[in-house]
Amino acid sequence: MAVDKVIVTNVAALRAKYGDKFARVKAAIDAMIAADAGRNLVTRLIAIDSQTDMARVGARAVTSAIDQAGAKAAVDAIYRHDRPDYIMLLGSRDVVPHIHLANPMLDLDKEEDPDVPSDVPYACEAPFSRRPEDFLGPTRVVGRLPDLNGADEPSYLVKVLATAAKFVCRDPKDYSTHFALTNQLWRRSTRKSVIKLFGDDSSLFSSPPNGPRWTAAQLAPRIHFINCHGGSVSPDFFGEIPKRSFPIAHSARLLPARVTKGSVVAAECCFGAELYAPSSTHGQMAICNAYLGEGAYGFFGSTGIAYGPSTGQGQADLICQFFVASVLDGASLGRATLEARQLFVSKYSHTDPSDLKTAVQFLLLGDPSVQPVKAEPHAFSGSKVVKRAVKSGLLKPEAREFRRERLVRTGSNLIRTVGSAVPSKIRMPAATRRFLLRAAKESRIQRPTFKSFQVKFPRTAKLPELKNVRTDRTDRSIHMVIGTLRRKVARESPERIVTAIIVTMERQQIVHVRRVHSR
Amino acid sequence: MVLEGDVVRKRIHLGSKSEHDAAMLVTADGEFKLRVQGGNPFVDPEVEALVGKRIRGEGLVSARQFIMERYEVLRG
Repeated sequence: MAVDKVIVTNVAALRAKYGDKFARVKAAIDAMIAADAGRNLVTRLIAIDSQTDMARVGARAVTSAIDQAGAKAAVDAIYRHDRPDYIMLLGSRDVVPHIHLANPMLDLDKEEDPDVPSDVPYACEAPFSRRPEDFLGPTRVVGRLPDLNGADEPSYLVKVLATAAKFVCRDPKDYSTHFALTNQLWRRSTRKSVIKLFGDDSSLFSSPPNGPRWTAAQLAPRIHFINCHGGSVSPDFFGEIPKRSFPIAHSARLLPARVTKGSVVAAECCFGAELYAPSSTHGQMAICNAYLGEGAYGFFGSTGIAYGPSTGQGQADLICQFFVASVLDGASLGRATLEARQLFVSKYSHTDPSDLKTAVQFLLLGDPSVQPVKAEPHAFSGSKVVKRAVKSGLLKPEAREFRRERLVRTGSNLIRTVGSAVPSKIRMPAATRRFLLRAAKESRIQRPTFKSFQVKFPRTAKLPELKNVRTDRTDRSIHMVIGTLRRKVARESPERIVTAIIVTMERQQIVHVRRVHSR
Repeated sequence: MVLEGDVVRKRIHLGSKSEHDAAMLVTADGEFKLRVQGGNPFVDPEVEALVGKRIRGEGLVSARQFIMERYEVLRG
């Protein structure tokens, strides 16, 4: 029998966490499988630590919950054998590990994340590696339903499993309102996102002065779009005003009994989807965990430091917008995640380091098969003749299979064609260095630092039709000057602090320039 | 984990969504953004008061941040 959805977990790791109480988790998994069957989804639990389960798919059992290469190989084998439409990783990163990718920003900023915890490799055909550029072409629908990192009591996991199993696919009108929250400094950028998604910004709150004690009515809308500061191992999101004040804008502590069942959250915040152990914060779970524990269906967020301009649109703004737009259009949470990743990468001829990091650091926490919003059907599908044909078996709709084919084709095209900037010791041409110095001076950047990258394209990118485009993909490089603004300028215009000027070169010619405005 | 070092102020995460001035603990093993467990990760008066001092702290390291459960000032 064809399998539509696999629940991939490490049973030994769950047993180690919960002991005898694992029986409650198993019962909740069985209830989900039964509920899925009621929706015509064939769901199978696969333990990557089980020799039997892994032998069935032709792979080795994973012997350690922190074995990233083993977990990736197991998921690849499961996907190739069962060809499921949905892959649900069950458990936090201490059950099924994130794949820790090299951080492409680390060469620019030594205080950056040491690596990028990611679930994107599980969504890709490429074999295990630490190179983020290997995972620019995701093709699989993947999400993670997490338990609490470090937990020894399974109530939270049982609860989120039950929420997903009992999900209700609602009319679009039930998702027609939103709760949008921005750091005051980024209001102009967030306003653009909100207007693009919802048509107006009347429900956009800024911090300060708003938050964190939101009323139930304010949090009632089922779409939450959040663009605030976030910190590692912190249960709060933060606002900012220009005088080094970071008030709490939104807090996991204040969420209980205020989240509407079926909410979907997109958070641009740094570390918004970091699955840390609550014991690190006096027992307070992360805000992503809190949302799911309160009945939200999904949380789309970043595992580390995220990027985006203060006034324009880029990186985190885009990938979060794409996710929400897809959800509102009737996609499952997993498909919305995959479409967001693909659309984000497709916007670029090549990804610079911050784009590349963005593409691999955002992930879905939630059951990927959950479809929160009903898709509007074509009128013909509701006609008597079509309904009769479906009932008789004459017509067997294969819409999901066609969508998966499209997604595989799109992801495959991306990994074959999109380039990425990798740190390089290539010599910066003297004229380019002079240009960057002059530009840095004109933009009042102080303590400028220079970095260079080589843009590398996949070998398969030499398609005949690409020979006809005028850009030269054989010798493309990126050079950057990065620094901080002189204080006087920053005080006068805090939203226009320039931190980096980036030039793209083909052979010895500058062909593109841009300034990146920092937060 | 126990770390010892000097506390300095530095602007970090340039160009990211969390660019800010931070108190950094400079140790023999590298630099870590300094936090106190339960405190505001971006600006915390308790941590700010440690700038310019040498401290020894006990806590956990996550994403190049040292989150202290307790500390002592060695030189102020």
